[in-house]
Amino acid sequence: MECVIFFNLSYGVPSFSFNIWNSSGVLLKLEDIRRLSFIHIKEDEFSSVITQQEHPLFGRPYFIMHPCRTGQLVEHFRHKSKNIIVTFLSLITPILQLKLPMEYGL
Amino acid sequence: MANDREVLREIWDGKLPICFQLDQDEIMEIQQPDPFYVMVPRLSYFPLVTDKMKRHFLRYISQENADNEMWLDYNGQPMKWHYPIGFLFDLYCGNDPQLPWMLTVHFTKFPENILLRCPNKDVVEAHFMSTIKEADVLKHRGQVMSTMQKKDHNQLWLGLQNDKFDQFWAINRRLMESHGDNEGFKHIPVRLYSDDGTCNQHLVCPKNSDGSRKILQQLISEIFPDKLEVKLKTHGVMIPSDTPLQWLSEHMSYPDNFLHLCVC
Repeated sequence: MECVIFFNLSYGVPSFSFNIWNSSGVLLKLEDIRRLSFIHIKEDEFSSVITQQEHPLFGRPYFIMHPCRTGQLVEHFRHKSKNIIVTFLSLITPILQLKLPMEYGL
Repeated sequence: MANDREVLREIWDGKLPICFQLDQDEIMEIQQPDPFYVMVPRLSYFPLVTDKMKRHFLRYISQENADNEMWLDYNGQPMKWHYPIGFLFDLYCGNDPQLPWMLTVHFTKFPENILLRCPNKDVVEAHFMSTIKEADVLKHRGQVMSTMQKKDHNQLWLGLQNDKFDQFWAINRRLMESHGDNEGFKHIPVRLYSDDGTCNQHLVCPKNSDGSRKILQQLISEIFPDKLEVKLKTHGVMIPSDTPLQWLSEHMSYPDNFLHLCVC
């Protein structure tokens, strides 16, 4: 799996992008990722959360989480969180069953 | 506000003749399939105009590949279906346009590190609508799209799909209006592509710091400070360098509300 957090210029918020390959090196499709998800999300709702897009920085396909909600979330936590990036990640990772090393919190 | 309606109509009606041919390696029948010729709207997207062509070629390929996702290449370069057709043509053969545009059709070896997946037309609609929303965030902080009803959003998509200029522009004109005392968009939704196909992101204002209208030449100097004589093309035409960006955005954006400009 590859994850990249980047600044979405148009929305002015951080965005979370990733790709996941299976053990044969084949890129997973959106439906595969929805089935992996820790939180059960219906098919038609999932695409409002994550879509495959051309990455604004790399020009290659990546799965990207929708920036629309991010602005509100970040604003809400901005003054309460000691490390806004960790807060942002902790809101996002349950959806993806991501296990991040504890070092990220330091 | 987009007042030069003739320009809007000319752009809407732009078409390209395409000749589709099946990849030689995928032909399983002894009889060679005829090439498939079709005239397509420059403003549309490939998944919206290739149903008939796909049916034409399906019986010539190995049936185990019949459910695979179809993809296209031009001179070995996979065609990104999420770019408007006319823009792809300008980008890859703008400097030496040969008509009809010859494209090769594939049903195997999908280039997953280059092309997005497109399992159905809903994916095209989702991409189209999300691009319009992003353009609205840049122009109006997202206020126009968020105050529109769902049926108006649908009308934009239906207008594009069914090639209905009036249906599309009845709603799109609201996205081309400027609000407040700004007299212009907050930022111009624009994507600039170099001749190697790479795109750089920029936040672009329609006004200069002295309040004057920014023209194309000033944008070029901002983005390519080291290059002389950069020319930009869109919808098959070279854009005069004294064109104001606000006018350009209102009149020569694609239906997704972005200007797609290529360096030539």
